[in-house]
Amino acid sequence: MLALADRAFRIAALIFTSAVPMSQTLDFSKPLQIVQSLGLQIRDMETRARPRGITISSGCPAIDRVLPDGGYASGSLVELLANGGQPLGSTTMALSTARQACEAGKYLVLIDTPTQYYPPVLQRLGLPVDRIVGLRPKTYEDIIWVIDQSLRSSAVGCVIASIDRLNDRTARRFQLAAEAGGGLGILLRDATIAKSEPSWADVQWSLAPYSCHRSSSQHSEMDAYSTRWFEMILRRCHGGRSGARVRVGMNASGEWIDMPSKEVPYGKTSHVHLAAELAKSTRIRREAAG
Amino acid sequence: MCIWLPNWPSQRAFVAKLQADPQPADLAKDSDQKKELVGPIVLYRRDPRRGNIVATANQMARQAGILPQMPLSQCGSLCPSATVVEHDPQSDIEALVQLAESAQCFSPIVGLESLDTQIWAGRSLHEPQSIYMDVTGISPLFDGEDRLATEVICWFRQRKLIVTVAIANQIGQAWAMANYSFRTKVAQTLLQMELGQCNDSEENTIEQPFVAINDEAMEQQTRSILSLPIEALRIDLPTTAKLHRLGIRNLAQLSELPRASLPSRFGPGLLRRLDQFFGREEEPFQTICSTPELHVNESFEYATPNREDVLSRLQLQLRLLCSRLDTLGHGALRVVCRISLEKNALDVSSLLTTDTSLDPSSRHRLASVLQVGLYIPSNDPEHVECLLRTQLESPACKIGGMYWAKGLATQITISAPMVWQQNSLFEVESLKHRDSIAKLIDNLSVRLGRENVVAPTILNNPLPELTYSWRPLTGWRKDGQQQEIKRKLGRAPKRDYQSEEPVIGPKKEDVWSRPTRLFSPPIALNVTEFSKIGLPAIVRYPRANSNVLRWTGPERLESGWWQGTTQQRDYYRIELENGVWLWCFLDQRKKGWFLHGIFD
Repeated sequence: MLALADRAFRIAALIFTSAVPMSQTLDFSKPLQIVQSLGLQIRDMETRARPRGITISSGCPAIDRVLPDGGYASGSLVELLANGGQPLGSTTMALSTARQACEAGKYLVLIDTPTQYYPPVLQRLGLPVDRIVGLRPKTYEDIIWVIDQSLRSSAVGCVIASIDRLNDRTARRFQLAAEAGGGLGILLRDATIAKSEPSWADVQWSLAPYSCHRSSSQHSEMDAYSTRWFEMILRRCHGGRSGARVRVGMNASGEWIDMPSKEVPYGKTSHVHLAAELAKSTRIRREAAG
Repeated sequence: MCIWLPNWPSQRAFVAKLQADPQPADLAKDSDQKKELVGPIVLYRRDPRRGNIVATANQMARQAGILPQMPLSQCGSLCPSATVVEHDPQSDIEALVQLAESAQCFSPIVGLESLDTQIWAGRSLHEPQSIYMDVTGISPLFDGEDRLATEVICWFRQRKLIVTVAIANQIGQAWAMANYSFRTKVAQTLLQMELGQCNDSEENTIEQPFVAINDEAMEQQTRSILSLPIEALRIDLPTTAKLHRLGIRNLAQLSELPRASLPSRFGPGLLRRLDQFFGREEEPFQTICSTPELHVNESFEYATPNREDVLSRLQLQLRLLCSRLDTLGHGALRVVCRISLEKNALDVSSLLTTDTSLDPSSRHRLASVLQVGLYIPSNDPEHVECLLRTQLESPACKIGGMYWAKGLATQITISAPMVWQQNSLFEVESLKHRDSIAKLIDNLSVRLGRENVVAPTILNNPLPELTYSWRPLTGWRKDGQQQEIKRKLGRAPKRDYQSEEPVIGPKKEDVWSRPTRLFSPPIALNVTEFSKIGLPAIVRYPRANSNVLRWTGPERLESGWWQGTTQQRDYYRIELENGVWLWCFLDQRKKGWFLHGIFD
């Protein structure tokens, strides 16, 4: 049985390599090399529409380390999930990334139906207040249209939107729009809804509740008051270490701090997604069915 | 012609509330039903000294005893059922400009009244409430001035607005007659309108307030003009008070004073207004309509029900206008397109159904008006066409079916020099994206409405909810100057907040002293258990109880004595066991806990 699977794998690799010219010859005796090479090619095909070689840092070195190219690919979608819409730090993470995405004179678009963002804090986090556009769409159709239009604009560096319901067609529309505009789309979603739906996001983070007392030995009492800690789980990432768990903190000056302990406990051994998952894979159906 | 919209802010609030909460048609039509349409409305504003005070109120509220400049706190006992709305002068003027642009069906030259630096005597608010219209040579088209005025009054009445109209040779005379000839009657009509007792039939509208000063009956009219009070001259309050002290109440008494002594005794303003009133000095008014080269008007050979035909003509007109703008080196900031409609005589259904929303007298001057504001000046015809096409294709535009388009007039009402040059050496990056973001903002504003596409502004106020504001992007210039109000009224902005360094907000050394999301207004915090020192120990947020791990505070924030009801709040940052951080306060006056923000 194993021999059969091995043969099928080598035939698939042969077909694939014949279809796509490769810059280097493959040694079929080394499956790891084949897998890596195939992974690169699949990713290359998937991200053909995006600007090449441009990555946007998340603003946090610890997060960048678990992302494939040291940051988010330009023209990609990122989802930040929080359980039950709890304020676990998704807005802060999104704004920190937006600061990096808007560095080259680009604009930040905030889509929030009741505009609750507090502008003095946006300024304090280093965001350019004169380049922030707030949008207040009234209906669900308007929200979809507004996200799509904003992502398509080349002047927009980052779009942050709170949206829960998202079908696969709309999600694909957002993905194409982000690729066309070359900016970054960050969707803040409720985890209970988002986990049961397919996602076209390139990177999906889940924020877990984390309070300082759980690891009080690692922090001084002063840190506990002046630094907020976040725990993030990388649920999905093309070429990244899915399942990686990152604990980071932001101090009172707005700088990111790494957790001074061993991080990513099981991320190194987790499976690596070579290609985007299908819109409605069997795993998702199984999860949805419970 | 001067058209006065008495108590314009409250009339606008009345119409807005009527649209938000429409009455059933059978109830509205039932003349026996005495049910009021919207009830009393009170508009308040924040006074730097006296706190929240009444800016204006509608007739029903006034009957209950509410008057302008009264503290808002007194209104609750006088009229508990009143709807309290914050006074928004910017929106008032925007609505008045839109109304004036639409009123160009009567005359191509329309404008708003220009204000002085000081508020006029007899007015409680320093904002325009009148529309000027040049009707020279137009009255024969309407079979006389009486008929013209009736149509104007009917046109406003269809929009649920009460106006008074006066036609005179001088602007001063028209303004005085419109504002001061029908005060009592207008108050009654406004009250009837608010009570839903106004009948929109033509017979009733003929009795509407209108006066024309013509040469034929000059002697008789001079007497009525001279009996007007001195406030009709549009003079400031100190001058009026001085004249009243001298016993001068009306224009007849004032005109008997020696002319030479007026400037030395009352300042140059009074003599200028007097000369303007009697026609000894010309008084220009600033029109909202464009210069002739930025205005294209066209009548179709045949009326058409197809929007595509209108769009193709619109494309041609925009190309022409943009080429003219290009020659001037300007770009459009506001474009108004007026599509004249006529009712299709061949449509059988139109004969069977009667359209009650239209007055029979004005059916022949139906029109759909498309209005577009732009973020930065643009002379790109395709971009402007794209914005107008969105409005043209919306259901609000009535072309097709019963209504056929018979003419098209496009004009650029506000233009500004194109900004080609960069302001500084290091502005290259932002310049690169300027045109692209302008197109995006214009598109978003057309679909969402200009009030829903906003930019943040940091203000100088210690109270968190007053530390910022979101302002519409397309209603303002890039330098923070407002487009409509400031340009049209010629007043400079008081303060340029954009160029100021923020003085309020989180300090540099503490980013966690303010939340990322702020609830406005604050919501009550569900405290399950208090600690021994009176602080929350267990809090229910969002849906489950959680222990309070630690708290930081208090930070006492108090509002100034000049900002109305004193606010005394002790703010705490509360960290819950489930990892949630809350920003809440103990209201020292209400003795309750409120959640004001979350650190998301």
